[in-house]
Amino acid sequence: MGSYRGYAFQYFCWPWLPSVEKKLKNCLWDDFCKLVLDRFGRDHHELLIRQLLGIRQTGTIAEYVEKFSKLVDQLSAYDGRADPLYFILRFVEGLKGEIKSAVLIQRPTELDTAFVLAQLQEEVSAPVKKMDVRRSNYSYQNRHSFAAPLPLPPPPKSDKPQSVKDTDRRATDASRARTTDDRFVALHSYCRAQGLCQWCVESWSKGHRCADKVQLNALQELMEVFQISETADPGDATADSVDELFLTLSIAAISGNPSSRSMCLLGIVQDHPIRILVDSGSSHTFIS
Amino acid sequence: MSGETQLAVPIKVKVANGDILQCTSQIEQVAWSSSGYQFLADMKVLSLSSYDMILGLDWLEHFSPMQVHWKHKWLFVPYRGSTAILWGMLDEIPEGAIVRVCSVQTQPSETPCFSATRYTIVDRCFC
Repeated sequence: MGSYRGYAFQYFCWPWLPSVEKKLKNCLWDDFCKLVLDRFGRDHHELLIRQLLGIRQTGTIAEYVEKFSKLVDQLSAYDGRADPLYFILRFVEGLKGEIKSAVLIQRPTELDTAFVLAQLQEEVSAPVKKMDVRRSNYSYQNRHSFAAPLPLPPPPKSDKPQSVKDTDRRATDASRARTTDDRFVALHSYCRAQGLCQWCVESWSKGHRCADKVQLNALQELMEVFQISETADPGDATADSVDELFLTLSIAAISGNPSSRSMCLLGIVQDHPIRILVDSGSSHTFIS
Repeated sequence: MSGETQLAVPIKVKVANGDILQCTSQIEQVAWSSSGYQFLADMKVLSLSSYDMILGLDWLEHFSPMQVHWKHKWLFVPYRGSTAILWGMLDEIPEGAIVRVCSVQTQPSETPCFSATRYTIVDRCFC
């Protein structure tokens, strides 16, 4: 009860004190304590325990630590014998996921140690988090890195975040390669280095299946390669186009039966009645 | 068909289904008419099964800008400083349907009879 006389008494009872001043004149200390308990004690004790049970980190670690330590101080005013381990574990439980696991592994024996560990972990993990924002398998990666208090810097190539900057660099790498073969080799080696499937440019693993849809940048890369191969022998291409001047004919013009879904005129040529198809799908005007 | 000229180099005609046909001759300035309007056009000769003539993009470009009613099947095309209206064939009229024919053009020598292929229906009423 001793702690009531100081901190707790001031904290809770100050506004209430004037209302009971008259009663206090002939009051013994024990009676006064009873009065105080009747007025505030039990309700607040339960409230504080419930707050402790529900407390979670919502903002920074510093805010959480402040809130938590205040709550612990108030609670220990009621019951100083509580095992500090309860408080420690409760504190760790309320931490945000990645920080929680890191602090838990350290097995802090003092509440203050837990506070410091959490703050350190927050500080250390902040830049990693920013770097890995684009990563889809972020949580899995982090479970490893948070096993140690200081996450190792990512390995040079295979673990690099696949950011826009990276794809840009890849594009320039590929364009720097001169011949088509070089480009293919560059593309393949890039895929291998990044741990990507060389067909669909998605991340490759054992039992990987190529996706139905291919990433757009993968397609662009291929298009670049093909453009080069086309311009490599321009002589052949032009020769072909001179020889084979193509006209086009829509399918309706050749095989379709006259239906309501086409624009068909009746006309006369050299005194013969004819059926005419108006057809923007054919390049030229034809006669049978 | 008279007035056919052989092409120096056969032209390949690519059909939308992937087939390739050979076109070896063409006729220049074919006179043809539809809905009472006369037209002249260069045409490539090709054996067609369903139609006797295909008016392709070159003709459509030449008569641009045009107005088309795809449902009622008519074309308004610029024609010798004015406009010509070309009537297309409408959907097949179901058997037993009542049709009101507003006016019929006939050749002077013929007696009017209602045979859809021989007469051009000039005015249409959508009853």
